[in-house]
Amino acid sequence: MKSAEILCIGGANGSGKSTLAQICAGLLTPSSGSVYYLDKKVESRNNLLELRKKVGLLFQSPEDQLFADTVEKDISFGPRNRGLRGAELDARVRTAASLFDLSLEELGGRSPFTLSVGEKRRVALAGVLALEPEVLVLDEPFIGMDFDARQHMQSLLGRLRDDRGTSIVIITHELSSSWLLADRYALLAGGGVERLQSRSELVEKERDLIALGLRLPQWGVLANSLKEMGIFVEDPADPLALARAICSIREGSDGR
Amino acid sequence: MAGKDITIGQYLARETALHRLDPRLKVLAVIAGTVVIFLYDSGWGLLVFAGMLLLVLVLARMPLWPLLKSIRTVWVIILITALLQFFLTPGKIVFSWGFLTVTDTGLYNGLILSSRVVILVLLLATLVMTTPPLALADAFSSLLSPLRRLKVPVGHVTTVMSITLMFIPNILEVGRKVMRAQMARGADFESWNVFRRVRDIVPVLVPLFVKVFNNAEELALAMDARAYPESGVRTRLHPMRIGVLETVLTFAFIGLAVGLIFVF
Repeated sequence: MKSAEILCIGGANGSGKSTLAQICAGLLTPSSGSVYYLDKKVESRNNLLELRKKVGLLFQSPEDQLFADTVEKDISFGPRNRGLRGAELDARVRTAASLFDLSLEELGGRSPFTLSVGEKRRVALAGVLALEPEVLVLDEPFIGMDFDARQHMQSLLGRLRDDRGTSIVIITHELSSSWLLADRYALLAGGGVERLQSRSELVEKERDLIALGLRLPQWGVLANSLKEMGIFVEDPADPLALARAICSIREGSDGR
Repeated sequence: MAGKDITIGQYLARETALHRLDPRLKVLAVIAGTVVIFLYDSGWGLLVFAGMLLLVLVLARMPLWPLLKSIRTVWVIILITALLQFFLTPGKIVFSWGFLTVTDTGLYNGLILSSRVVILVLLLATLVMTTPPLALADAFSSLLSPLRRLKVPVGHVTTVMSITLMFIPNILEVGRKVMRAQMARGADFESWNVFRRVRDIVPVLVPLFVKVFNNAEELALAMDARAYPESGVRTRLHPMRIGVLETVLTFAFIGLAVGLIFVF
């Protein structure tokens, strides 16, 4: 993957998405094939430990992994494990918390178990970000979140890529959750990825997606329906472009 | 990877004589074995019992490696049991280093007690690895059925037991997942530093307990929603039947084990 891009890995249930996420983070070793990081093959135990430092992983339902008695302590767990103490640790925790709109003054002393799902997930993400990974792998990051929390998380991830240049891998079974966020897509099928695709390529290959047990978001389906009617939409993810295309049908039908 | 060798409580589907043996007989044999190993006065009784157990496992073509791995899971308990006996039992001093002294009685007691723990773990692992959780719960239900006359809720007890047994592999999987999640945050469960490993257990136990209690609560509510507790007497699709030969062999094993108490 490129630096400072968001890559979405899609696949149906049981296609090996979570296993791939853990392999990416150096927590599991593949039964076949190899892992490369910056063109260097990850072979030895030392390579694996190095990989763990470079790649941060947020597990599916990360709220299940919170354990400390306060939010601040939970965020500091990772950097503390890496030997950070005092002002440096404090700065790391504050930066990570602020990146996810978490006010330590307000939430820092609270138990993470008392937070909402969205807040818990942001605390867990801040805990991973506090390790300052070069690549962030998120396993189903939006699952179980309401609309507002999901929107909030999406905008935070976008900021992370744009402002800090972090490369992000989003692993999901529901492409619509990261449709406007991802730069490229990889679809898991038969234990592998054929090739990386753009959003418009995915829209063109709707049947391939259905064969893999995945579905296009509604606007992609709409764009394809419009295409069948002879109306081409350049960017199917752009609501304005879709609206214009629909309006063009109205204009055609009533002569305006 | 961390946690992969935890084998306690996991049924191992194989085709061995022990797997086919009626679960009630296996439970009786394990209960008898558990009692007698604490009644042997000398190490000889334990040694002969361990030999008998090994013979049964070999004759039944039971793979030994998974059983031995179950001992590895509790090695810390075995070690602590032995060390406490070595250093804290009064007797004739055979070795001393600073304030630590090892006595002959301590050495003997330590070896006997840790052998008892090893045999106990082997017995329980044999039972659990050769009996599917539901069959085990059915066995307890059948063995406890006379208590129904005393108004003991045997049905509820065995339901709780079967759910607990069925959830052990699930809890282990959650534990493994939490361990990997904390490893992603820099926890080190593979470190040689024992203090660090012990310290890093807390971030695993807290989320594990939270998850297990939440699951238990959800399951209880789901069972409630599906009209539990049921009324009426439950019947079985496949009633359990005990063969003559397996009964004779099991009671011969139990009889020999009990007989050893009087020999040694």
